[in-house]
Amino acid sequence: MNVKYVQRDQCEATQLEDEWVILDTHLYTITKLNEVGGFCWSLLTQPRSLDMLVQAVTDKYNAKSSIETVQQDVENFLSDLISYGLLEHAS
Amino acid sequence: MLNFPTKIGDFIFEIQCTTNVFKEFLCTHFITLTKAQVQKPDITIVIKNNYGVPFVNYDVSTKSVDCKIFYKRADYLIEVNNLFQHAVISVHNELALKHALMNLFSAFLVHHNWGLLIHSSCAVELRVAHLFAGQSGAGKSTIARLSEPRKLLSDEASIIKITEDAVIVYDSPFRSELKPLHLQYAYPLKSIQFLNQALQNERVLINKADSLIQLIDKVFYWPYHSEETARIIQLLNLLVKQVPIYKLHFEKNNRFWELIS
Amino acid sequence: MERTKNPTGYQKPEVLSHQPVRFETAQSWNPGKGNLNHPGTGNDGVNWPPNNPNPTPGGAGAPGRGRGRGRKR
Repeated sequence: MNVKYVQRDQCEATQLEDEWVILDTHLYTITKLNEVGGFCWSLLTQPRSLDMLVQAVTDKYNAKSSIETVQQDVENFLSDLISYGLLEHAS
Repeated sequence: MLNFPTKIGDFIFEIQCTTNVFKEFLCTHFITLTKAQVQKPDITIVIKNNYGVPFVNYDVSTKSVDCKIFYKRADYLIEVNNLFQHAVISVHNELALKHALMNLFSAFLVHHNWGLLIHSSCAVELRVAHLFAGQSGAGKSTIARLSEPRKLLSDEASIIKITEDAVIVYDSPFRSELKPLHLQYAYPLKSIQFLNQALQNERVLINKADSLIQLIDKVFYWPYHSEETARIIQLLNLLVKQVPIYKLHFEKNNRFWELIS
Repeated sequence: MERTKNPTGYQKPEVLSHQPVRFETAQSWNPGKGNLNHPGTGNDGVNWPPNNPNPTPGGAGAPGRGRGRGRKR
């Protein structure tokens, strides 16, 4: 099964230089992401699977790390966003 | 009944008091407009006294029901319609009145998407304004005193108008120690400093994301709706895109101005 | 998808910080004395004595007890 993730509705993001700031208007939190995190976040306006995100990140940043490493990095990132209530599983 | 028309930022406030006990406070802190200057007030505020008890704490409960917003503290109650045209403020004493007016005014600014009330002092140098922000005890008042004889637009709560192409600062009637100047004109904001008292003067630029995040708890605001919170973040976003923000380490003398101007 | 060369190369996607949104809700005592006792987090008045330390309307309040950073060096 290929699980997909999507931003929760109550989030508003803004890019400032090479960082991103996300406001959650329900939970009243503010979260700062680095550039690659912000790139992933911008893709998550639509439901995306882990594989889709890993492919997009690898393409955009010409990642030299192994696919397993990038996969682990993105998975950890998604896990953080879910724990902060910013992402949900797409139905 | 005391009628007291005044101007704060770009807005005309028609203040009506059921008592004269606050007359001196209002006349000292707020510009008195003549009848000719008052066409249509942006908001009418009725002030009543004999409400509640003396200051207990800063806890303000907010609720929004039936097209009205309520802000309640032990020593004041604000009732304002959701278009921010009519308000009734009931207060225990002058301190409660000052705090209630700040509370209402900050909400009024955000409602109009006009700007923000920021916990800071602000001084004018060479016709541009420089803001010094920090929590209580960070040194805003010290900075204000050390900045004399420069004009001081605020020593506690700076009134900042934020648009897509400009950020300007108005003379603030919401003062801690110093008397307002009652200026009717505003100055472009050139820089913001987060204060940090130190043994030597140094100014370090802060990146924009951190600037935005660190500005949030300097904004005087009592939330009642999540949309308004999002609006504040959007205003701060516009602000940090236009104005550089620094961490200012300063020793207690006026030489920090050499780093600014 | 647009391919752009990133001079800094790949860095793992990261949450750099996460915190509650908290506004300033504590004004100063007026006139005469700023609120030096305010812990700086906004929103709570629990460090204040239960009664108004500013008994005279508009008069100077009781001085803070130095939790601010304005100490003499």
